[in-house]
Amino acid sequence: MNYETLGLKENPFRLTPPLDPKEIVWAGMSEVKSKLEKRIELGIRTRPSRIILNWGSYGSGKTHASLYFSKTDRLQELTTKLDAKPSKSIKITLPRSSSDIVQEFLRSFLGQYSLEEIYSDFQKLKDEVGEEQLVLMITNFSNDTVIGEVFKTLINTEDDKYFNILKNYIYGDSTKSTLNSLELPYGLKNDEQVANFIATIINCVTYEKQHYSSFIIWLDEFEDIDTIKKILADRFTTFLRQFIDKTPNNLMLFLNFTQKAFMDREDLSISLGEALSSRAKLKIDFENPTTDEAIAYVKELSNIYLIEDKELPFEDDALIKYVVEHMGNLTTRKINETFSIILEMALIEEKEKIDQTFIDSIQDEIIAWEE
Amino acid sequence: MNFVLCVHYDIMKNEMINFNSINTQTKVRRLAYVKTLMTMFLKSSYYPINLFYKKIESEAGKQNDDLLKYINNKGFIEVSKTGNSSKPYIETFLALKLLFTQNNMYRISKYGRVFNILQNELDIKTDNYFLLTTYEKAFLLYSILEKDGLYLQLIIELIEEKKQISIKDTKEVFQDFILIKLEESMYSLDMSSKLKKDVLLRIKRIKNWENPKRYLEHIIEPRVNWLLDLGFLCEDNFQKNILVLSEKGLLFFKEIKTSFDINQNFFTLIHRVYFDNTVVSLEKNDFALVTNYLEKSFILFKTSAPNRVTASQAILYTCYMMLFKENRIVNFSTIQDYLSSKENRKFIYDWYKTEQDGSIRRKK
Repeated sequence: MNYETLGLKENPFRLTPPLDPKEIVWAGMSEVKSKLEKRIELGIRTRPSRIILNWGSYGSGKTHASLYFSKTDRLQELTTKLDAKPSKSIKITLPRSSSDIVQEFLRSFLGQYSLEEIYSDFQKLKDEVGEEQLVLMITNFSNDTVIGEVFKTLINTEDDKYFNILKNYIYGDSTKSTLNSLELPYGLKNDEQVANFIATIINCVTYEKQHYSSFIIWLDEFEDIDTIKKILADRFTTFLRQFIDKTPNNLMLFLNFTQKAFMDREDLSISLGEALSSRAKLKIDFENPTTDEAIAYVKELSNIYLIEDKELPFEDDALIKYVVEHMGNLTTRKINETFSIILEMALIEEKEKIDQTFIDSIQDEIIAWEE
Repeated sequence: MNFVLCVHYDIMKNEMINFNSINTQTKVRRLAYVKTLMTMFLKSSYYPINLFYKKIESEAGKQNDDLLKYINNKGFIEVSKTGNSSKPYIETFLALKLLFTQNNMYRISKYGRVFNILQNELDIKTDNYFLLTTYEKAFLLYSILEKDGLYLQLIIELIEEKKQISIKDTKEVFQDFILIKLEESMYSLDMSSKLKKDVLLRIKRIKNWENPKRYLEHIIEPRVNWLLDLGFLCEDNFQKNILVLSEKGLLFFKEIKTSFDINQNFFTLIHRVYFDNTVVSLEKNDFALVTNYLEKSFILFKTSAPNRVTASQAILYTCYMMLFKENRIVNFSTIQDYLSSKENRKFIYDWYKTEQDGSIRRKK
C-alpha cells in the first residue's frame, strides 16, 4: 500500500521542512509570496539595506519562506527577471546554545556561506574589478586594520595549508603560532570585529551590485531572543545594530517572529531595541489563510504530487472545505498536519477516494478537528 | 464556605496563580503615586533603574500640597540622595505588574499601558491628586486582587469580623488570624493535594516569621492605607487610627464573600460597589459596542506586530470603556466567550493558557 493508490507520488503535506531543495515547493498563499517577492525585488533593484520583520503565528510559513528563497531557484528567477546579477540568500537560526552568541552567529553564517565559497567569490571579484580596486574596497569597508589584513591575505592565498590557518583564525583560533603565521597581532574575538568581518564580506560581494545584486539573511526563530539570558540578548541586538550600520547597502535582513503571549509585555517589538526597530520599516504579516486560501493551498500542493492522468483523492472541493471549516484558526502547519493524517488514515483503511463519511469516521484521529 | 479560600480556590480551578501576595514596605501607602510612575512613560518608553528613582522623587514633589490636604498624608515621596524614598513604591508597582525591567531599564508593562490609555480616554480628574477617581480605584483594585489578593481580603475580613479595630490591634492579631483562616480552609474545602501543599507551605512560612511585629508593620500599614484610598474605610475613624468598613467597604466584602472570580465578576463587583443603578448588564445588541472598542484597541495598543493586539489589553480596555463610557457591565470572560463563539465574525482569537494571555487579529 503506498500513495500511488491515492493517485499521489508522495504525501504532499510535510510535517518537517524538507532537506532536498527539489522538495521545497510553494503552494497557495499567493499574497504572502507576492509581498515577499516585492520586497526582495526592491532589494535587488535599489541600494539601501533594509530590515524586514516577518510576523506570523506558529506554523504560518516563515521558516518555509526562508528555505524557499535560500534553497530553491526562485531567487535567481527573480534576478533574471530584473536583469540583475544573482542574489545570495542564507537562513540562520537565532543562536541560543552558546555563551558567546556573536561567535555562534559567525559560525552559523560561515556554515551557510562557507569560507571556501567566500574565497571563490572574492577571487571572481578580483577578476571583475581588479586587485587594486578590491584592496581599496577592503580597506574602506573593513573599518579595522586587522580585519582588512585578513581579507587582503585571503585574496592572495593560493596555498591550501595557509588557507586552513586563515580558516582556523576566523573560527577563533588565536594561538601564537597561528597569529605568527598570519602576521596578525590578535584574534577575531571582539563583537565589533565580527560585525566588521561579516560587513566587509557583504559590502565587497555586493559592491555596485557587480557580483551579487543583494545579500539576504533570514534570521529565523527570532522570538527566542526572549528565552536567552538578557545580557546575551542585549549583546546580540547591539551586534546586529552594528552589523546593519556597517552594511548600509544591498543587505536585506528578514527577522522571523512567531507571535506569542508574554506575561509582562505586549509582544517582542521591545526585544529589538529602539535602534533596530527604527531601522525596521518594512513588515510582512504571515496572516492565517482564509477558507478559500486554505482550499487553494490543499489543491495546489496536492496537484504538485499528483501522478499524471490521476485525480485528486478528495471527493470534491466541498469535502476539502468541510475539513478546513472544522479546523478552527487556520495555519499552514495545521492544514499540513490535518491533511497528512487524513491521507495516512486513507492508506491504513485502504481507501482510494476520501469522502465525508470517511472523514467523519476518523475525526478522533485529527487533532485540530473542532465541531 | 470561607471566602478567602473561595476566591483562591476558584482561581486554582482555573489553573491560575494561588495565594497571591506581594512584598511591601511600610512606606508604600498612597496608591495615587501610581499616576506619577505611569505618566513618566508618556515621556519616554524606558528609564535606567537608578535614574528612575530620582526622576520619580522629583516628579512626586509636585503633588506635595495635595498630599498635605488629603485625609492622610503618610507615604510621602521626597527627594533623597539614594533614591530610597521612591524605590519601595517602584518595587510595589513592579510586583503589581504595572512595570517590568529589561536590561536594567524600567519599562511600562502591558497592563501599565492600559492604565495610561484609559487615563487619557476617560479623562476624569478629582480635586486632589490623592483622591482617586472611580476608574483609578477600579484599575488598582484589579491589580491588587490579582497579585495581592490574600492579605487584602484577610485584612478586610478581620475588620468586618471585629466591626472596629485599631491599626495597632490589627498588627497584634493578624498573624493568628491568617493562620486560623488558612487552617480552617484546609478542612472546609475539597482541596486538591497541590493546593493543600501550597496552603501548608504558606502556614509554615507564616508560623516561622522571625519578627512578626516588624513584619506585620510592612504588611498592614500599606494595605489599610490602600483600603482607605479605595474608599473602603470610614475616613473619620481612620484619622483616629481605628479601622471601620465604609458602606462601599461592606459592599466589597459582601461581593468577595460569595463566589468571586476576577475574570467572571470583577466588573459586576465594581458596578455594585462604586456605581448607582444606572448601569445595566450587557444585552446581545451591545456586542456591536464591544467590537467597536476591540477594533479601536488595534490603534491604541499598536506595536510593530501587524494586525495584532494583545488579548488582555484589548479586552480590559473594552471592559473599562463599556462600564465607564457606555454604562454597560461586561466582564473579561464574557468578551473571551464572545471571541471564541461563532457570533464573532470579525476577529481571530488565540489564547495561551500558560501565559494567561493571547492575541486578537482582524479577519481578512
